[in-house]
Amino acid sequence: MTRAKQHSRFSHYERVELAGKTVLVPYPTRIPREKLVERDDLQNRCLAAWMRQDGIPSLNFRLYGPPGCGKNAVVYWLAQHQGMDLYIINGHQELGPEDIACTVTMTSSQTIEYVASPLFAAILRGGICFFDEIGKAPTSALDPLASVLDDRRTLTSVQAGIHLQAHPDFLFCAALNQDEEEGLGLPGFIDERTRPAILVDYPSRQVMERILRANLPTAGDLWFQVFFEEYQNGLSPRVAVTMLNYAYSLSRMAGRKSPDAGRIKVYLEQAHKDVKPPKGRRELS
Amino acid sequence: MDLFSPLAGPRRRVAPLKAPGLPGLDVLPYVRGRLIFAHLAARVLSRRRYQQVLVDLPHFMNGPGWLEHPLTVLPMVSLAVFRRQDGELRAIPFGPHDAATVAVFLAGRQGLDLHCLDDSDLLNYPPDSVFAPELPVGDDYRVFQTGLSEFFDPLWARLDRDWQEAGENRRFFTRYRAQEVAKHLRKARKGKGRGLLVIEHQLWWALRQALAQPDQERIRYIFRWRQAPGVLRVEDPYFAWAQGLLDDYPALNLEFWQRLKSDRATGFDKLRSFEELLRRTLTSAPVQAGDRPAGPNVVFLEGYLKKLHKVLRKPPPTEEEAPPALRVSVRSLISFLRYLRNLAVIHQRLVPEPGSQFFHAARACGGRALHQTLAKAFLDYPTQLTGQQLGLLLKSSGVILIRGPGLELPGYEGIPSFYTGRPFSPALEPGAWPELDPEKEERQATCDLIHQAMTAEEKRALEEVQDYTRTRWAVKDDYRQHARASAYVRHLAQLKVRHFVPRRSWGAIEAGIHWKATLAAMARGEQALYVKHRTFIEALRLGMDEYTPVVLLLAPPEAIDRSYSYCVHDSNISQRNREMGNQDFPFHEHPPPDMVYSVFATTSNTDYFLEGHVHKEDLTSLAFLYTKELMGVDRYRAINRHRPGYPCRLTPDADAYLRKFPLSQRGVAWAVKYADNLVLVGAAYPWQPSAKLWDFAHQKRVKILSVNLAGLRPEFLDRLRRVFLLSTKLKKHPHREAIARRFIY
Repeated sequence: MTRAKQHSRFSHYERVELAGKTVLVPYPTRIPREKLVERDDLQNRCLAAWMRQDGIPSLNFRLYGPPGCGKNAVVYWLAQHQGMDLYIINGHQELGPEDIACTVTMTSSQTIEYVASPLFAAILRGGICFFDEIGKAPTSALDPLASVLDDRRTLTSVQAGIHLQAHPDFLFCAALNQDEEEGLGLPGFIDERTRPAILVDYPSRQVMERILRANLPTAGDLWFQVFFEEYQNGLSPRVAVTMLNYAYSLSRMAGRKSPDAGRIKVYLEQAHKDVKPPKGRRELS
Repeated sequence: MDLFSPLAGPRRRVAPLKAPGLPGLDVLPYVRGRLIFAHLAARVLSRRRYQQVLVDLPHFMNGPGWLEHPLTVLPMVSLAVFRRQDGELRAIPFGPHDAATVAVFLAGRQGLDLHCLDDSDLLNYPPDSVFAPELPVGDDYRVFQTGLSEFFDPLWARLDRDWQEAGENRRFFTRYRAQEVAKHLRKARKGKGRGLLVIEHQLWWALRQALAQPDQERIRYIFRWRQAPGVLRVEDPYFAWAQGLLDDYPALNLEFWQRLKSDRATGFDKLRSFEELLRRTLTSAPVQAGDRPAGPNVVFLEGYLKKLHKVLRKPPPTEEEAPPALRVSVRSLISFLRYLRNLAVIHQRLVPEPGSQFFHAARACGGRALHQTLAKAFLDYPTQLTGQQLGLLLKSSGVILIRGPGLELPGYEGIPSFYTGRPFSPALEPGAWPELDPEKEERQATCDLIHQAMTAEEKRALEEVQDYTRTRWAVKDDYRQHARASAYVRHLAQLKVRHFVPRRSWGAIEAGIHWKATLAAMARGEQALYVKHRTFIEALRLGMDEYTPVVLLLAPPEAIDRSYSYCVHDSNISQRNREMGNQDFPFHEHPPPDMVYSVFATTSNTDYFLEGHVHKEDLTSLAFLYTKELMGVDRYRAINRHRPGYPCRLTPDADAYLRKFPLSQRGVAWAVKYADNLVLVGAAYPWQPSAKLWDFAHQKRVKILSVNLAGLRPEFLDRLRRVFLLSTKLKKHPHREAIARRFIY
């Protein structure tokens, strides 16, 4: 890797002077180039949540659903559609309130530097902040979000001593798994402030076929036909793409460009065995 | 008119069209099953300018007698189903939301001359021979802004285009049908005064062409059939709505019907009624937000609504009128109204779609509480005649009534429309609803939420299931919730025994930098980094896994003591098949039947649904020896994999020693007996182990660690308090999942 490339990979912060302090503000996330297979209903719901009309501000929504069903893909599509920068925070158990706002770091010259969070950057520059896996963040870490997501639209960093008013274009959304949404749920004050809660469920057969075709443009119709005969329900798009891709690769490795239905079935069985897909749509009873 | 104001425009008077070449005949084209057109029919007929009404019901309905039956059961939706010669069924729906039904009803009431015009032989047309493409009708309320011509012209232009590509078979039978209708129309119009033709818009498109070319050579086709058995069934309005058989909002259909009956249908306005019902539902129930009193919230919400949407025209109801409190916060209600408005704008609708927009918005913004409240209000409909059947026999001379229930009908998917030969219900036909999947799914979910019943088909299937046992079966969703709760209790216990202390770092970062201590050190001139050092309360530094028993105390101890208890067992493969009543299972090839207990519960109340096939237990406490969500044989195996002697084969109530503990302590005592070294207790109310329980735990060398469940989301705590048990019959039912969804929440 060239030095220039290394530089472009690692220099992810811009130095910004704020309230007399130098703050390192992250650049937006590079949005993956994959094209989202259109799911009109879902996209319209998200756009409706963010729509501003008659001076009424946009809503902060959250997406929930089984893993691998396209929550992140929808957010990438929204960022592209809105032509806005995307900033992503990942929730985890060790996240603290300052990780949400602004952290302090020590330089090698024993001085303190302030490092803004992606939320801070989105608020400052007027981008989209996407809080992924918000259900995994501890309640105390989410406290700074309270003032961001209500009518105040402000972020306060106690450590940095900065009180930031959100840019008028700032938008927020979050995502969590269905288990977290339907189980313990989010703390009340975040639950209330991230509505509507939009379900991203297993897609219909037609949408699933479009997704698979988009991801495997070279596979023939027979592949999709056999796949849907054998594995009609219960696979998330991510798992279905992985499985079909793997089976297709097995076939190509074996030198079979256009195998018959029987062979395709064998490759799919092998892929199913190796990929070990998790159980799909869960039963109630 | 103001809720979705960006789309609202001036309304115009909608006048019927003129029939070319038939003086004195007005035409009201309509979309089947849409309330707006039923309303238009009522408005036009209420002017009492007509002596004759002509509708597009099949010609055999002209015979006397039976047509009054679907009118008698109104506002219930009914289906007249007939069997074709090839054995397939065809259905004609009746309801207050259908323009033809309303026209027939008003013709009878006003004593007008009534004629049904459609071809009787349509019943036996060859399959796929009717030209009836799916057209995007969109929001029918727009007809008040556009008028009939402007509303239907794009659809008819589309029909003109599609006609060029229609197959020869379809062209032939469509022309044939139009000629038959034209023949009946001309005959009916002879010597009559002013008439109104109420006709489905696609049939009118075909008929218009037939009327415009009276000299065209007559197409002939001979159908040979004598009689067709049939039935008139009154539908369950909730299931009918879920399938799209009842227009958008049943409560609005009902309101229209009530106005129609009392000759006030002209004053009906779907959008105004929708807004009025929404306003009434949201503001008549006191709103709760945490501990804040209900009164100010109502005032605040009303003020907000007034400012934003101007839908409030009446003062809030008095205290006596107020229904039970709506457990939805003001913020959620505001989000709901904003989101609904945006959805309606994005989809260009004045009245939102019920499933994919209205109820979706309710659930997405206000959760189950708001969804259920609105569903109850907007789906409110009488059900008293549901399932009643009337045997029919269709002869070439007309329909006659027969004794007995007539045909046995399959589910909706097995009954196509009389008019198109395709599924008559939009939910069953791809592309029929603008956004089929979300609309269908949301309607079904909403129906399941408030209508806990079985369809006739499901009941029949239940009766066919063989059951020789009285075993009750726990449901997976309960176990899933219990596993989550147990994991949460373990997490709280770990937090309780884990501590961080700031410690000066000599290189290691440990659990992260302790910034407060580091900055304090720098302030006092110490150049050092302080880190978080993890410590444990040594006495409680014990491993926790799925075999660590967890006890959830969900009610105060005195309430638990007043409860009654039961145990849930998990069986090996032989025992399971015995309990399922599988007589043909090869028992001799498997180990002898065995079972272990891993769940002990106390319950304060049991509710029975579906003639006892579903039990709902209101729990006060739950104890688990194994805390993963595995069930049945898998759970049995997982429990037996643990150390020998671990499985419990004696219920606490049968154990002479454990029986001495009161119920509020018995679950914990049972857990102590079978624990390795630790029992976790999650208590939603203050709870203390008794001295006797401490002694028992000490004797068994088991520690009891108690955590507070007060931080749990109230909805989740409520969910933990409910468990469901199914009968063996229901467990073996082919549509078990669909039925269970109506109860398990």
